[in-house]
Amino acid sequence: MKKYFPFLLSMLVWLFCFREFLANQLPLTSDAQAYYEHIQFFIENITKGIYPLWDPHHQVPTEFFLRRFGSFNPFYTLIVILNSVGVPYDTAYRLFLVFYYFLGMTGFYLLAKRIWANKTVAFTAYLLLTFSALGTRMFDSYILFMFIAMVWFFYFLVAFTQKPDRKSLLGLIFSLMILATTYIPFYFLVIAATFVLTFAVVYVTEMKNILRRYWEFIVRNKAFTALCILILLLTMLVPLFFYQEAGRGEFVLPMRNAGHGQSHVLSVSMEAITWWGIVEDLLFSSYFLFSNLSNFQSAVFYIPLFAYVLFLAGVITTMNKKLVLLALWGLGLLLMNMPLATPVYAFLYEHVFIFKYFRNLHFFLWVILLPIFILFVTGQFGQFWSLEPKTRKQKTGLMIFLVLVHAGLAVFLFCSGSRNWSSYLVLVLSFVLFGARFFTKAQIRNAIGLLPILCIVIVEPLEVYSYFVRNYLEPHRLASTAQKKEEPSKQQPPAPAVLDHGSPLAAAKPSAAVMYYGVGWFNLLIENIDPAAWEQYRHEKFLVYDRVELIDDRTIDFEKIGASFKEKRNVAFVARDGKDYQSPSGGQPAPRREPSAGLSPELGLITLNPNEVRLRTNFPVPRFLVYNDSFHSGWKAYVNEKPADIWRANVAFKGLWIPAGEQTVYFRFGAPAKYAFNIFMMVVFYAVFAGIIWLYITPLIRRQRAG
Amino acid sequence: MKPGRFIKFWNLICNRAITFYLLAMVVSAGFVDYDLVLSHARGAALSRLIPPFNYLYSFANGLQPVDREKLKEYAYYFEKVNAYVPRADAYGVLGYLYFHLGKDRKAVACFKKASRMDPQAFNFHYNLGVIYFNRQFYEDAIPPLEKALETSVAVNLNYITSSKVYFRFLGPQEDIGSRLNQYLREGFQNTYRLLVSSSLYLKDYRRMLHYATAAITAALDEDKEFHYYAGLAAFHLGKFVQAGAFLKEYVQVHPNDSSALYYLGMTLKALGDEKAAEVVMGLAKAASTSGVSIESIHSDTISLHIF
Repeated sequence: MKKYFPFLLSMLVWLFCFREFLANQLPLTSDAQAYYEHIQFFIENITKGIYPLWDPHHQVPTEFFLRRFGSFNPFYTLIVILNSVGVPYDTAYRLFLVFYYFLGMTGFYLLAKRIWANKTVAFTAYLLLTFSALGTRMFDSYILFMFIAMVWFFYFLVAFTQKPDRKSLLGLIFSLMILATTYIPFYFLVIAATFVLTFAVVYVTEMKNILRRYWEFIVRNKAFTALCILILLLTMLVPLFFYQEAGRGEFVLPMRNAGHGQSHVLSVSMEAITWWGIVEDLLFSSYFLFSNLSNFQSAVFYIPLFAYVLFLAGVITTMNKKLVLLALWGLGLLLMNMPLATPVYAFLYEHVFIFKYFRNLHFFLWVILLPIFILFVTGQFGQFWSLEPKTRKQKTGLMIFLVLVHAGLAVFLFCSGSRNWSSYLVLVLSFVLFGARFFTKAQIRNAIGLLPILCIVIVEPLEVYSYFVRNYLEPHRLASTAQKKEEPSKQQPPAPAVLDHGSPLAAAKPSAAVMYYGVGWFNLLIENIDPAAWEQYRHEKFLVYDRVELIDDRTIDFEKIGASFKEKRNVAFVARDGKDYQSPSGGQPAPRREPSAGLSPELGLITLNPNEVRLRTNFPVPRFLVYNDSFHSGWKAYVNEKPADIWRANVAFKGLWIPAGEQTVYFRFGAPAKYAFNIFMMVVFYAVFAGIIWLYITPLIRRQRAG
Repeated sequence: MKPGRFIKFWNLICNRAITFYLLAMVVSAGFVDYDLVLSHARGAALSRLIPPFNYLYSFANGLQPVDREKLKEYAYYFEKVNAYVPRADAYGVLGYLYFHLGKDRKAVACFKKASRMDPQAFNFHYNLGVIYFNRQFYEDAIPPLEKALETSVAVNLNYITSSKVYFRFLGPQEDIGSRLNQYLREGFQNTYRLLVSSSLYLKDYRRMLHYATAAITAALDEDKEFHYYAGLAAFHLGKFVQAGAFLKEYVQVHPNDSSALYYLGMTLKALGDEKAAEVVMGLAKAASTSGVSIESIHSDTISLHIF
């Protein structure tokens, strides 16, 4: 327990810094909010036995963006478990985020320990990363989902390289599986490729031995290795299928894809890439350090000051291979991902296809350059810490050097306008720490444990994060105060269900590029339709018409359609989409009435879930039913269990003719094979995760039984 | 140095982190276009740093009280703007913010810089004059206020409406021409007021008379207040006929102004018309309002222009 105390204490301090977050007083914002909603939707349906492939609740009903959050990640089970024992989803999700974050930090500690073979150094690295601003990104971003899997990948890679065994290989495979199925795997691909290249250059003489060890392992574990490769190849199908489906063009990302013309929907333009990158992030962050720390806010890049002390102290340390590897890798990544700095990125963008598919280059700063920097400075710290000045001259020289480093930083901070007490305290404590290390008796030197380092690292973040929470909380606190002034009995209306009077389309407002992602036809409709007409139309989930008018997609008359919506004319506009169309109404004129809206004795709901809708109808004559849910080729319809044609109605929605009399209408999204594949992959992910746990636990159990 | 010791020294230095850092800097300098990278980064970072201007717009229009924290935020933003892309209008706004944060010296420095960069802009000279006046540096206030009067309304209108900084504070576009005209007109009026007051405090009645009559000539005296100032100045200069004419003109519009009536009475007495003087003095005693007061021209009534 004693050896875990510094870790527990650091965790408690971190939790204290962000206690408002755990108490649900800090709202999630930006992408973090979107991920919260995605995962909530996914878990709610999975726990009901439904694998959701369609999201009717999204701003624009569309195919569920599973790849964004990595639906196969077994760690989401924690949310399910917490929820099942009565923890509200909101709290359960936040606890999951914190758990996942510390899982990543633990991985980083273990990685640092593997690399530097020194607990003090590894603990320092762990602290510097934990108390950097990386943790704050869980409130406004999703990069932690990428980062944590990547940290464990590198841990398992180092472990496997040092001593190839099954659990490290399986861990490696599992990390790759998570990375391949979460968000955009190309970030990791670039990071891994640059690592391999740099490693091969720096460790060229050791490569032969390393590859030989790998080969020996493979030969000894043929079946196991083959299974791992098979699982990995299966996993690669997931992003491949997603890429292919996105390439069909039904799914669009108008904001992301803006300015990139007719290219693949997932691609991004060079302008989108160069607008904001690593240098911009660093420069913007610099505005909130030193003299402006009290305005510290979200997405500001921050590392505890002690890292810079170590960096400066490290100038006199020697550059060993590990440090050279880290430095070259980091510099290489930095230069490569500064498109304006060198022509390298432009070249890669033109000639390597993956570079057309990601744009947030500043992510590299957070997910890889930050940990590389921390590993680098802590590596130097390890060397510096192990200095043994013996002579008086050496001690004097070291003392002068330490004074210069600390005083120099203090002067720099003062000249930069910093008046933050914690920054100066860090320098004082750091100086005392190094003084105790080098200039005191052996008894005192050896007694310096992890706690002094913990104190030095956390001092400044305690102040910084108090400002962060204050600045984060202030606008939201005002909003929540305003809400509390309403009558307490007034409850917030529940989110509208699919067939409530309020259609989810109610949230969609007509404006160019209104959605981040959705269905292309809806985007077209919303960009061209008269806002007043849309306002008239959007409230009903079901509309029943007596007449259909065919339209040509090349010449859609949005004015006419808009007028029809406004006046509630009894005609649906249907696109052929290359199919033969026949009207069962036999061309009879439509009665003069408005289209029926919503449920009625003639139209009733039997079942409803994100992937399917079952209705019963009893129309006196054949009628055209428009289901105001986005049209997508993945939807199939059946009338009395016989396949029926779904037509694209009113530009963007689903429509079909329903015969007269009692009918059962069934809409279903996605082929059975798609469901089977997703469920199968989920099982594979859980199995691999269970395999890792088994491989780690089994030796422990055996040791316990033996001892 | 002996070869052996040189090699030892070389190994000692080459192997150090600092050598690696220096090498990395030198090599990267050869490949990296730092100017291009930094100029783009500054523009992008500044655009993200822009605070919402709702508060400043309301504050500049007198609708919000001083909130130092918010003003500091704006000041920080404009400091960065000027650090990267020095521009007169940005310096002008920064000076305005510094003034309201109580940093008069910095405000003066900003307005001086702005007026050097754009001498034709009214508000930089004007604001400088207001600051000096508020600090009772009347002699220093006069030159910038005179420069403010030398600027052209038409040039200022064009400058304000084409400024990338000022557009946030202009309000609705519908009647912007007439509003800006009125705004500048008030500015010119206040400039004359400040010049008249400064001259009075310096007891330079000749200048006071000059500025007051100039304001009258510039058709900025609908209310006849500059007639009062001119009359006052002329009285102190012993030009009683002139004084009488000005004060009479004023009193016709402001018959209950006791100060004006008093000075008119004194003028009449000086001109030898004792009877008329007695009547006017009696009216002065009976008058209920004190009307225009030079002493009221201070920071409460005359404030800085944000544009």
